[in-house]
Amino acid sequence: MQQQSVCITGVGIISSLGTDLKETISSFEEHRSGIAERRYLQTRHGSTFPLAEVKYSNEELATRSGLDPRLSRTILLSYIAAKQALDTVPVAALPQLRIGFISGNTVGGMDLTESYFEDFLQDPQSGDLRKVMNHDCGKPTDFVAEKLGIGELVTTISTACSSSANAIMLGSRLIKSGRLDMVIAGGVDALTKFTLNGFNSLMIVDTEQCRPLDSSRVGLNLGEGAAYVVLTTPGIAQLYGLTTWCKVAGYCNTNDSHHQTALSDDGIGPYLAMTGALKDSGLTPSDISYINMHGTGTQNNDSAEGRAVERIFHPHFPMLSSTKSFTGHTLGASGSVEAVFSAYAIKEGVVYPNFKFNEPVEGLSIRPETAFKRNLSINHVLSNSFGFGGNCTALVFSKV
Amino acid sequence: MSTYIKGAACISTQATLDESLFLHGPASAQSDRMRCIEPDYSQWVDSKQIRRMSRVIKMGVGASIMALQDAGLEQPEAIIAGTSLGCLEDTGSFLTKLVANKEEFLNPTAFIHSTHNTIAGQIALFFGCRGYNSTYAHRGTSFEAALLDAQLLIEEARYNNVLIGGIDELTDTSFAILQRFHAFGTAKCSAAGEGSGYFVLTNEKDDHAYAELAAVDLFSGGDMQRIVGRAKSLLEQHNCTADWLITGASGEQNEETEHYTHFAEGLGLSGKSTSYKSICGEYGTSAAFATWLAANMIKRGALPHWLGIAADPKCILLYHRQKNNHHTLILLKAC
Repeated sequence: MQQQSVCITGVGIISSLGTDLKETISSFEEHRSGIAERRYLQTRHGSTFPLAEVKYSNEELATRSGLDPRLSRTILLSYIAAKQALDTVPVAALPQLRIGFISGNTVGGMDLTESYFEDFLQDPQSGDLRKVMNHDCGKPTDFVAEKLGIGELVTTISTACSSSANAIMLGSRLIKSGRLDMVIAGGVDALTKFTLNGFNSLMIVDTEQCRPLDSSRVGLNLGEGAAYVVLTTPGIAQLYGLTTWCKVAGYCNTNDSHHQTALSDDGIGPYLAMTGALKDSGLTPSDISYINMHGTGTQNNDSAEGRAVERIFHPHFPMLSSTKSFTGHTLGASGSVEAVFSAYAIKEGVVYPNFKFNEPVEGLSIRPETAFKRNLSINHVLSNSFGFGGNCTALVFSKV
Repeated sequence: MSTYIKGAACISTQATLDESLFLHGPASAQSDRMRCIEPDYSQWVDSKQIRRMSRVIKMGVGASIMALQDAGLEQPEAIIAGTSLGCLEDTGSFLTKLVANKEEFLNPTAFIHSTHNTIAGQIALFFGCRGYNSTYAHRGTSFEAALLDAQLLIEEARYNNVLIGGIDELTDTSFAILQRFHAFGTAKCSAAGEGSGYFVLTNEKDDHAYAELAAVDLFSGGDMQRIVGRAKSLLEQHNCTADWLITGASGEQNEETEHYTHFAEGLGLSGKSTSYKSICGEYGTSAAFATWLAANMIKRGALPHWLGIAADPKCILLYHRQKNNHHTLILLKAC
C-alpha cells in the first residue's frame, strides 16, 4: 500500500515563554527562561519551587480568548493554541476537508476539581458542580473541538508526558490511512496543586532552575502550556496554498516496561523508541541534525535517556538540547510544544540551547548546545517524550 | 488487511465471566448503582502483586489475561486502553490527602497510580510487553478511539496481535459526584455501572475468531441525515447489510430515546435493536461491553434467547451518541 506522506503546515503555541510562536522564539533568542517565581498557582509551596507559568491569570487568558474566566485553565490554554493552529487554514478550505482534533493531557480540568474537592470533603452535596464538570481529560478537548467546529474524530490521549507526542503520531497515522484529510494534533496541561505535590512527593522537583543533562541536576521544574500542529497531506497543502514546515518522517511508540515512574537504567524503552522512529523514517543516526531531548532534569530520565542516546549516536552526536530548561516540564503538552520547536527548527534553520550547562551526566559524553543559533541547515530532527507508565514516544521530522 | 477479534473477555455488572448471561439473561439493576461481578484474581496474580494493585488495575489485568487465554496467546504484542475516568480510587485518595494535609506529608503511591495510563502501563509491566502502548481518556468514546487505534495497528502490519480494552470503575466518591449530574436508575438514565472489556485483535482469521472488526468510525456533529448517511456508507463500503443494531441508549425515555428510534428507522432496523446500557449500566466505556455482546452474538450465530427474537446475525452495527453530539459506529461481521 503506497503510503501518503504527512506534513506540518501550521502551529499554535502558548507557554511560559509567550502567548504565541513569535514571543516564544524571542525568549530563546534573548535567552530568557519561562521558569520563575510563582505568580498564579495557589499553593503552599509557592516560594519553594520555581514554576514555568503562562504569565497571565485566568481572567486575562479569558479576555484574550473571549471565553468565560470560570472555565478550567486547561481549556483556556488549549483553545488559544488550537485556534492559532486552525487559523492558519483558509476558512474556505474547512468545509472541504475531513478534519479531526486529537489533544493530549494528563490531568484535564484538575485545577478546578482540586478546589471543588475542598468543599466536597466537608459535605458531599456541596461544591460548585461547574468545577467538577470540567474534571475529565476529555472535557477540554470537547470544548475546544466544538468551538473550532470539528466534524470528524475528536479524542484525548492520556499517556502522561508522551500524550501530545502520541497525539501527533495518531494524527499522522489516521491521515496516512486515508480516514482524515487534516488533523489538529497536540496537547495541553495547566499547573495544578495535584501535579506539583505529586511530583514533589516523588522528590524530583528542583527548588532552583532545573539543569537537564547536567551532572548537578536534582529534578524538574513544572510548567504549563498548550501546543498544536496542523497535520495534512502535501497534496492538500498545495491545493490550499498552505506553507509546508516539514514532513512527519516517522515515529515509534514503545513501553519501557520496567517501573511505573522510573525508566530502566539503560533506557531500553527510549532506545527502542528512538531506533524505531529512525527505522520508520528510513534514516540512520548520522542523518539527524538535532535531538530535542525529553531532558526533564531528573536524575533518572536524563541518565536513562542519555544512555540510550549515547548507545545510538556515539561518537557522532548531533546537536541536542532540552528545551525544558526554558519551558519547564509541561507534562501532557511537552510532546507537542517540542514538536513545534522541531518544526520551526527545520523551517527556519535554528537550534535551541539548554539554559545552563556545566558538566555532562556522569558516565556520558553528551554536551547540549548552550546558545540559540540561526542560519543552520537542519534537515532531520528527533524529538523524544517519555512518561510515567513506561510510555516512550519518539518523533522524527524532516525537511521536505 | 482485515482485522479479527480472536479473544474477548468481560468483567461486568452481569454474569459475563462465563456463559451465564447468555443462558439465563441479565439481572435487572436493583438500585441506581451496579457493581461488577469480579473473578478471583489470585488465580493469575500472586498475592504480593495483588496487594499493590488497585481495583481498577486488577479489573484491567484480569480481563486482559482472560482475553489472551481466550485467544490462545501468552503475550500481547501491543496494549491499548480506553478509560473515561481512569484510576479514580487513587486520584480521589491523593486529592483527599492533599486537601486534608494541606499539601504536606504526601505519599507518592496514590499519585503515581492515578494517571490514566496506569492501567495500560501496569498491564505492560505484568506481561513485560515493550510494544506500542496508548491510553484514550475521552469520555463516552474512549473505548471506540482505542479500538480504532488497535485496528490501525493491525492494518499497518506493525503487530500480529493487539490487546485492547475499555475500562472504568465506579467508586463511592465518583458515584456521589456523578449522581448530582445523572438521574441514575430512572427512566431518564440507566443505573450507574462499571466494567472492563478486553479484546485481542489479530490479522489472522481462524476458526476461533469471533468476528471481523470491519470498521470503527468516530465523528462529530451533524443531523440525523448525516448520521444515518454515514452508517449507510460504512455498510456499503464493507459490503454488508446490518441485521442487528446495538445502541448506547440509556434509560427508557429521555431526549435521546427518539434519536435512537429515528436512527434505527433510518436503517430499516426498527424492532431489531438492543440497548446495552440497560444491561451493563451507564459508564464511559460501556461500548466495550456492547462490543463483547455483539462479538459473542455473531460467534454463537444467534441472538440470546432473552431478547425474544430468533435470528442469526451476520452483521451487527453498534451506534452510540455521546453527549455534545459525538457519534461512534462499530461494524462487526461474521467471518
